[in-house]
Amino acid sequence: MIIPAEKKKLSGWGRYAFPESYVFRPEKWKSLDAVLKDDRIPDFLARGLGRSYGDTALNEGGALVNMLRLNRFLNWNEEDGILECEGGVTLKEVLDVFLPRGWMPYVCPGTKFVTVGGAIANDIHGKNHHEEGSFGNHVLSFDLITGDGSIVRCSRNENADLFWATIGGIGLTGIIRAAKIRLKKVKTAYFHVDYYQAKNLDNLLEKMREYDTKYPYTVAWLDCLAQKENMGRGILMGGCMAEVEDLPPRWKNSPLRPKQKRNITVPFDAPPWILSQRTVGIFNSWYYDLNKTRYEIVPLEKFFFPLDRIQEWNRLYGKTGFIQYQVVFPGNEVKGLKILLEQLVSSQRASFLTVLKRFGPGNEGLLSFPMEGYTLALDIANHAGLANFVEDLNLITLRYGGRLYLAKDLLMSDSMFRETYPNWIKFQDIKMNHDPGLRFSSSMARRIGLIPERRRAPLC
Amino acid sequence: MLEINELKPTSKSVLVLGSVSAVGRAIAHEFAREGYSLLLGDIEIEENERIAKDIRIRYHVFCDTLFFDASDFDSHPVFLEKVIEKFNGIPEGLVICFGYMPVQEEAQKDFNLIKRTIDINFTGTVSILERVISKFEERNYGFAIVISSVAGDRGRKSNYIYGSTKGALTRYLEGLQHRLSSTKVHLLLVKPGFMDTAMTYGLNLPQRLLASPEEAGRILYTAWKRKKQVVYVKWFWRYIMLIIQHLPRFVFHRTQL
Repeated sequence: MIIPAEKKKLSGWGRYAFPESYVFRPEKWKSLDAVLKDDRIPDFLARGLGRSYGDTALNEGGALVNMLRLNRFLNWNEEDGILECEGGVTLKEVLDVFLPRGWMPYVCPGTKFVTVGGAIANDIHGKNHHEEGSFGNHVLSFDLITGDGSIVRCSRNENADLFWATIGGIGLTGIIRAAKIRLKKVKTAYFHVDYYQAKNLDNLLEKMREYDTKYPYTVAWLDCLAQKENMGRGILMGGCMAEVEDLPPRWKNSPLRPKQKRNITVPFDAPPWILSQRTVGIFNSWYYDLNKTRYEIVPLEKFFFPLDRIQEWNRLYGKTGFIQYQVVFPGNEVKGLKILLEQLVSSQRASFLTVLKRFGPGNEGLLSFPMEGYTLALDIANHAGLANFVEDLNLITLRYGGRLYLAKDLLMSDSMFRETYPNWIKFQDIKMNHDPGLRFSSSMARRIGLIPERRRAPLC
Repeated sequence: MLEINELKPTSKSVLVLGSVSAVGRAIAHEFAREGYSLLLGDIEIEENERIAKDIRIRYHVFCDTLFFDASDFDSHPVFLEKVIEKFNGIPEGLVICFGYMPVQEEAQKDFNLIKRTIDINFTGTVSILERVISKFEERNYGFAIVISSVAGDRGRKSNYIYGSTKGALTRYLEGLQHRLSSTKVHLLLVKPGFMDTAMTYGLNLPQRLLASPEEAGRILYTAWKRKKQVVYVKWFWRYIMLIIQHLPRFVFHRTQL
C-alpha cells in the first residue's frame, strides 16, 4: 500500500525559511504504519500544528507526517482524571471537551493550538512551571512508533530510557501514536489575576519572588525598549483558579462555560513598518500604562492564551519572518539576565513580546529545556544583522551557563548545543539503539549535530 | 467509564455507513453533538471502534459499531437485522458516506477496479438504501443523507469511471426522491466537489476549492435541518458544474477536465 504525499514548502512559526519536504497525512493507524514503511523516503518527522518557531518541526528533503487527523480520544477516566488520546489531539480540543466538565491540562503554554504529541516532544512549559513542572511531568505513558516500525509502550517504569529521551526529544525517537496524560480538576473556568506594574527589573524580580510563593501561575511581560532607570520595567501577573463563590453573579450560573469571544485573523503578511521600533515602542508604553497594579477575574483562556485571539499573528512580522530567542539562566543569579536585557535594550531591536518567568526544577527529560532559574523569551524580527545580534546574545548565554529552548531555536551552532545540553550523548546513544537506520530525523537535529547527516540522498 | 453498555440508545438515532471516512466521521460528530444515538458501520473494525469511543467521550451519547461491507450485498439483510437489534428498532435516519475512487488510468486497464467502483458506489448504496428506505416509508417517517458527487454531473475523461457510478447514483436518488415526495421521508442528495480527505490528498488540488471534512459535516447537517433536497459542498460547485454541463461538446472535448 502506497500512501500519497504532498510536496510542500513549510516553515516554523517564525516563517523564517520555507524548506521543501514531502508531507503525509494519515487518517488511520494502518496508513500511518504504511507511511513509515515507505522506503523511498530517507527519514520522517511527526508534525502537529507547527507552533515551534524555528526548524524543530521541519525536515528538509525528507518527510513530515502531519498528525492532525489522528486526533481521537481513546479513553477517559473521570475518577482520576487520566486521559488517553492520540498524538494529534490538540490542547484546544482537550479544553473544549473537558473544561465544561471541570478538567484542564496541567500545563498550558501560551497557545492552545498545540498537539499533545508536540507538547511531549518539546516538553512545553507554562506559567505554573515553578509549582507543577513541565508537560512531561504529567505524562504517564505513551505508545511510540520507533524506527523499525514497532510500537513501544514507554513510561517511568517501562522503557524509561526511551520515555525520558522522548520527553523534550523533538520527535527524534519516533512518532507518539497515543499518550496517557493527567488532567487537573478545576471548579471554574476563571482565574484570579493580580497585576503588578513594576518600574524596573529589580523591582520586578523582587516582586516576582513574592508572587511565586503566593500564586501557582506567574509570568511577566517586559517593555524591552525602556531604558536607563526604567530598564526592565514590566507587568507582572500572578494567577490562581477562581472558586464559584468568587465569581460575579452573571458568571455563576455556568462557571465552567465562559462566553467565547470571536477571533480575528491577520489577513496578509504585514508590511515591515507594522512592527517597527516606533510602533512597538508606542505599543509597549501604551500596554505598560494600561496595566496598572490591579486585580481582576478573567476567563482562563484570556489569562493563558491572549494571542490566540489573533489568528496567524506571526504574519505581523511580514514576509521575512522573525525568530524567537528563549534562554534560561540557572540558579538565582540574575547577572546574565541583566546583561542580556541591556544588550537587547541598547540594540533597540524592539521585541513585541518579551516574557520573563522563573522556572522550578527541571525533570529528567534528556533534552528538556526548563531548569531552575530565570527564563527570558523575546521575538526578534528578521532584519539585517540578525545573525550577528544573536551571536552576541549567545555569548552572554554561554558565559552565564544558560541554554536555549529547542522549540524556539533556529540559529544555534552544534558546539553551543553540545556545551549547553550535556545529556546529548546519552540521548544519541538511546536514539541509535532504537533507530540505528535513522528513520527519524529533522532539519534541527542535523543542524545542531544531534543526528549525523543523511546517508541517503534527499528527496527534494 | 463510558463503555457502550452504560449508555442506552434513544429514538433519536442515526446509522452512519462509511464512518471511518473523514466525512463520515465529521457528520457523525454533528449528530452526536445534537444528542443523537449513533451506530457506525464500516469495513475497518478497529478504526471504527476508535472513532466510536472518541464520540462517546466527546459527546456522551450512545455510539456503537458494526462491521459493514458495502460490496457484500448478500450480507445486507442480516446487517439490517443487527442494526434493528442494536437500536431496538429502525433508526430515525441513515447517512451513507462510503465510496471508492480508483486511479482513472489504472481502472481503464483493470476491469476488477471498475467493478469494485460500481459495486461499492452504486450497487452497494442501492442495496442497503432500498431496504432501509422501504422501512422508513412503511412507518412514514425517517431521513437519509447520501453522498454522491459532482463528478456524476458530466462524464469527464480524467475521472469518468468513478464519475459514472456517481452519475448513476444521482439518477437513482432523484427517482427515489420523486417516490418519497408524497411521504414524510426526507432524502438529502449531497454533491461534494473536492473535499480535503484521504481520497484527494496528494492530488495537489487548489486549496480554495477544498472543503474540510468538518466544514462538509456542518454543511450537510444544516442542509438536512433545512429539509433541503440537494446540497453542493461547497455551494459554488453548483455553478461550476452548471458551466461544465452546458459547455458545447466541441469546446468540452478540447479541455483537459
